[in-house]
Amino acid sequence: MEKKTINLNVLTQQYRKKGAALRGFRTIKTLIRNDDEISLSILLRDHKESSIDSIEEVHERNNFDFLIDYYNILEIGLIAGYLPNPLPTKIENDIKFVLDNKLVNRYFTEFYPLHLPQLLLYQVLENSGKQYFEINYSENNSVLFDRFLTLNHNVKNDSDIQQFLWFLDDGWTEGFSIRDLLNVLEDKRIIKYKLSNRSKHPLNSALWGFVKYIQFLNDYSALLLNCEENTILQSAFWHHQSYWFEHIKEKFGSVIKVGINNIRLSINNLNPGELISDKKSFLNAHEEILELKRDSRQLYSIDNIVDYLLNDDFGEPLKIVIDKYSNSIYNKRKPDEEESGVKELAY
Amino acid sequence: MSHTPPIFIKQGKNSTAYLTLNKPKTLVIFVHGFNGNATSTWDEFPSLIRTGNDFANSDIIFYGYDSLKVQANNNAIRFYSFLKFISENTPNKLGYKRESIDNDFTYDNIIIVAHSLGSIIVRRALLNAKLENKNWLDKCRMVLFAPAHRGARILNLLGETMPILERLIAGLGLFAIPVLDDLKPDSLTISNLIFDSQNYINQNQGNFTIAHSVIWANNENVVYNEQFCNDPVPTLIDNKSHSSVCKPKSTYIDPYTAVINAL
Repeated sequence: MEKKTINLNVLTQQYRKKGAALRGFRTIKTLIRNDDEISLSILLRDHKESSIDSIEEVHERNNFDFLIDYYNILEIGLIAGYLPNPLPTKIENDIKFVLDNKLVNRYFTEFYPLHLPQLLLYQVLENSGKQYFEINYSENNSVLFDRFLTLNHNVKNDSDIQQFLWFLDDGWTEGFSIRDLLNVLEDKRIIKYKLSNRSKHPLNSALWGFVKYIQFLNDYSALLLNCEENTILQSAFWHHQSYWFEHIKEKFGSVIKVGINNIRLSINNLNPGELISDKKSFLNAHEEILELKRDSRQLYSIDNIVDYLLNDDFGEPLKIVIDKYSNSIYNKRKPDEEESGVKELAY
Repeated sequence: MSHTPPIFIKQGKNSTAYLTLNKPKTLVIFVHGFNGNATSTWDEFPSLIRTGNDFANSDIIFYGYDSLKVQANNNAIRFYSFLKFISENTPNKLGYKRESIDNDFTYDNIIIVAHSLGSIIVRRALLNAKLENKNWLDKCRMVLFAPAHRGARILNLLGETMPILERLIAGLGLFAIPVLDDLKPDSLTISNLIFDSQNYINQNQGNFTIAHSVIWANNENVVYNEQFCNDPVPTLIDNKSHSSVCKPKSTYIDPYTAVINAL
């Protein structure tokens, strides 16, 4: 079997044929097959218009997001030259069945604009049996894509990070929110007693999640940096996080920076005696505390990472490609008008 | 490329398998250290394995575990469960079915590559296997990078392996890290590890406690570079620290070579 076909089979097995994505597909398939547009439009509504309150709905939408992520990954895999191009007909049919449904389409084009599934759908709709685009195979792209898969898996499957992101996205758990987490970072005495006896406390989990997520951002910025020579692939990686880096970038940047600043305040205002007697802290002497205070100056590097990732310029290369496809499809629906240069879509 | 893309398996935390497209003979398992990560601890190992042919007949698993919240011996039990699973079941259960492998398949060799705290986890897991008389124990070989099996200098460990944010929050006492107690040179965890290993060696049943190879960093200031029972004389690597000694790059292939030599 050809190597790229094996890659596709393994990715499809992991990201589409099991777990949340499979559950999401089954739900969508049932609703589409039954022409149940009312249920589908309720499930895939804009949460800003009508909030998502029930746990069942949160889970259903989460399953659907995992399904969409499979299509994200397919598109990035195509750009990396990791997958057969064009995709096999069976996969294309699956893509059209889901993404070309008008209510599904509205979800990822209007309510929560995501460029990767849009591009994938355009390519499949435009396909005439040839390659979607020309690409020179590069072993380095495959290595970068492997790294991307690993980072994506780690962030998606870490319950602490998901708790933090839930708070970041205005979620509440057991009456706690992002505000409580930021307070913990600023002055641990405020609610430390609530954390002391419960490792599963949502604030404890979110605190770990915050720390791990910063590490993820660090790793992700390194990934982007390492593919500077392939700006389309770099842009695709960036778009995969565009919900955080683009759509809610103001809040995203602000929460991370306030969190970091609150830790600075905490360090500046700490009580050395209290800390030395605290069994949870590894600090045992005043000199060690002074060294930690000195080290806290390195926190500025995290601000730099956040600024780097929130740069909209990363998104442009892929948006240009999508615009060309979009124009091409628009022109085909208006045959009297001049066709746009489809050949330019190759990159 | 002779391996599958990364396959994320259920066992451990973020454990990742690269399965050979040929019929495998050997299983190589990588086990990270304190505050490490299943794959990133090993830097370019995954890409070197994927792009080269040296591991064409080996399945590779980068095993992950929670090295901060969980005690060392608890992680050793989980790792032992994983070893049992992978040694007593067909690897087709890992998420990719290969026609060349049937249900009775077992590996000829199991190479376990561990860094730092990983050496404690691995040694205790193998001792558990000995307790339960597992016949696959004889197939196992250890390759240990900067092993912490004789203890670590805790402040240096935190300084070198923890990013600044984690170190500050841990310093503020906002979360506890129980494994730090296990890493002290006089800890019960380490004392018992040495005692149990030596005990089997004294009974001429301790071959499995002897590492195939041990690699120390010359710029080590985290773990205590001390002999462990009957281990071979370590290889000393110049210009490498505790964290960098296990990370191969195009300009530093010693870690890669050390693993190949154990195949």
